[in-house]
Amino acid sequence: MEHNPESHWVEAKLAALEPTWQPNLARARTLAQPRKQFSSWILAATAASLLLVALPQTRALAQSLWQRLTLNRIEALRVDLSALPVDSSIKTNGLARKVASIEEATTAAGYTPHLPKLGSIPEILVNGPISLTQTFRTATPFAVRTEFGPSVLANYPEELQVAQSQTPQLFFPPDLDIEQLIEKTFRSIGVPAAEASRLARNFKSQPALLLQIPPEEDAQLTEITLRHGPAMLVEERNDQGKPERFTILFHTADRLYSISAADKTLAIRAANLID
Amino acid sequence: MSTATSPTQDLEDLFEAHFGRITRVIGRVIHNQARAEELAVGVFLKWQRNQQLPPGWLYRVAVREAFDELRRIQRRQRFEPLFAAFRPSPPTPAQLHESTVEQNQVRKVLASLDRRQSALLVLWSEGLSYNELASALEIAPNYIGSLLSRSKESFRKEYLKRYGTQS
Repeated sequence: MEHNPESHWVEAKLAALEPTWQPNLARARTLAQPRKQFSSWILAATAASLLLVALPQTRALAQSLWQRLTLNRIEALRVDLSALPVDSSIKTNGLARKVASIEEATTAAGYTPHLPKLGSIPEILVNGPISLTQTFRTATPFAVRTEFGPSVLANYPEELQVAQSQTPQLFFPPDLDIEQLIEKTFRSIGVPAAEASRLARNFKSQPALLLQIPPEEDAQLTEITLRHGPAMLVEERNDQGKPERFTILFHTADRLYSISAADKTLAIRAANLID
Repeated sequence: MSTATSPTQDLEDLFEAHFGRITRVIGRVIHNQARAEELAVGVFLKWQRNQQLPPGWLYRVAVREAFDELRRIQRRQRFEPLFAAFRPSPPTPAQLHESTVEQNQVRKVLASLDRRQSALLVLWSEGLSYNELASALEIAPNYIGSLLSRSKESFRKEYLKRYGTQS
């Protein structure tokens, strides 16, 4: 360690960056949990499709006073919404449990998980439900809320992860024009007006859980076809630019899926094996 | 049913040991606690995919993620007029405190330096030992001292070039 005046001067300048807060380990654990379920982008879902599950008594209230949309598809977009003036809060009921069988998972989640039969036995976890409220810091603040889960996560020994959840619900104030909100949101982050308008119209006609993948992320999105229909394949690359993780996002009539593996063929095969 | 829990336990142990420090490293660069925690969690989840990586890798990636985020923030400021529809409420005293002129100046200077130098300065200011710095940056330990001296000098010169006096 140097002790000359210049070194002390630099040290003093750098000390200005000392955080005035203490890291919140409990919040971090909450953040880590859902990210394990649905790839690393799940918590970065867009402003209009973030997650919220109200407690049972408030849920009934929400459904009577709020407009509701069922997000029955999943769509990945190369956008970065982290600069939006939005405050987020995440709640869960604390459920994060390893279960011993599909039957036990059914009891815990409230629905029967559909899992591919690969010959190996997965470790099954049931999480959630998760709730996330986003409050927009506009002149008249307003909130949108999404309910999501419980979700079922199956980790196979072949480094394959199958995550699923029943379709999320988006709640928003009755006087909020959701199409306009989506369009303004995209425009505010630099999406061209025509494209923002198209995305907003698409969302209104076919509401989707929108997952953002920042443009800086080294990932490639490709549309593929499964036996269930169209799906999105997200190929992530490591620091050396080599493919590292393949995630397939798709939906069925009542469920959203994320299938993730280190091997693309395995990911596609598993997705096609889901009933 | 598999009962193997060691990978999860490995992550848990690493999380317990390093989360606070990793978050503070990121927080030095971007200062937003919530965002720093999110990025830190992301670093651990990346580590989870390739668990033979040493803990030093966490710090290297954390600094990189922090500066990438800082670049994104600076880039977004160019689109500030577009945020008129979502104009945030006036900053609170705490927010003002967090955005002092000096902090912004230090961040800008760090962001302008060679990546390895800025990473070294951020990690050094968080109190990492020379061995920890060497592990994080994949540099021979006996090279850290001279690299640190050069990094400080680069910082000082760049700061003075941009902002003048060494007060």
